[in-house]
Amino acid sequence: MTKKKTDKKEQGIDNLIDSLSDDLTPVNKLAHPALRVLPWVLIALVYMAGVLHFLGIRMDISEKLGETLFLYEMLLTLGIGLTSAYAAGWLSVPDMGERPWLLAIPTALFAAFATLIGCTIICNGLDTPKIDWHHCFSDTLLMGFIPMVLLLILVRKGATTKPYWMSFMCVLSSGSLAWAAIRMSCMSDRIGHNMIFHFLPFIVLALVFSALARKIYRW
Amino acid sequence: MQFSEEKEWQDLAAKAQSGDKSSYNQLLHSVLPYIQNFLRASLANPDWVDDVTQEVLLSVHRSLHTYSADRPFKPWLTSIISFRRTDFLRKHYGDRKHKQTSTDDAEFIADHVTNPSNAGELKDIESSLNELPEKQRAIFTMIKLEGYTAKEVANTMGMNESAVKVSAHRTSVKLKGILE
Repeated sequence: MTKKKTDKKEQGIDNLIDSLSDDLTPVNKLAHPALRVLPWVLIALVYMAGVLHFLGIRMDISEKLGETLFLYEMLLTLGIGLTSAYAAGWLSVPDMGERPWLLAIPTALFAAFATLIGCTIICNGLDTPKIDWHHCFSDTLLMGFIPMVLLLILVRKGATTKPYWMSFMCVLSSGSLAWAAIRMSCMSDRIGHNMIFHFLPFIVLALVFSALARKIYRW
Repeated sequence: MQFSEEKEWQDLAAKAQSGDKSSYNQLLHSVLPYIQNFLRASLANPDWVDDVTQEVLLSVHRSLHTYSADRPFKPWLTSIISFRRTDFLRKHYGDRKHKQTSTDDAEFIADHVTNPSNAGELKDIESSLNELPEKQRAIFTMIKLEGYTAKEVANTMGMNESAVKVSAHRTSVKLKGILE
């Protein structure tokens, strides 16, 4: 690069700094990630409780809540939902990279959930349900899609430097809360049914939002 | 020294958030050498540094509201620099097919070739490539210059994968011979 060209670019940067300084107006600082995510968690839980009421709670719920495995599954998915929402809140600020453990916690919980599913398949076998339009598919989307869109809108106010992780955390948080809610409504405990009609919609959404991540979170 | 600089940036950023233009100007001038040094150490072509620096400054401006004065400023800034650098490199290498031009274009070479002083060698390679049979040249160009996999080239050319690999290898050897 010639000296003349370097000087021209330096001059360009100085001009840019001056014009950015001139354009400065007081900014509305982003609240702490926990404070921003908390209203979403409350709205999502209220919304899901409303949808659950609309769909109806499974008749054997009191019996199911006495089962350790079911309770473990519920607590695990609730834990995934809350920790991944918190991580999504942090991901909306650029210096999230300083806190990798925030991503590790929901990912580890999700791995534990995947292990639980794997163990259930090994112990009970994988039934293959007839693949057709089932009301559980639309119920799952009804339960999880709106909270997910709300979370996407909420975190777009920030400036993420990890768009793929952000998409994953948004889908994971709403998906896991929706999984817990739909399991309290759907009577089926067959793993094949749950995987196809309760889990697959979120896999599809995760793929779509990951593909669009850089566009969704452009800033 | 490092600590006082960090503290100064934190204070200036906090003042900038409340609309203090002179603090903001001072902050941007103060972080400029840090940004440029960071990029100089991590970009292959020094000519790219100023372009990415401008992107970083604009990004700092757009995301000033995401900084919190109770956290250190440098990690926040470094994340933005890394993000914009990756963005730039992705775009730069993603677009390379659209940036092919004659090696006679001195301005293009200065702006886009990693080591502009090696441009003469590029001309030799280009003319050597023209001496090859058309099919051999096409395979070599797709694999070695455009970044397609052997499988993709095999599908495009209607050949099998190993034949494509053998052809690319033989062309490399042949080119090496011509250029020596």
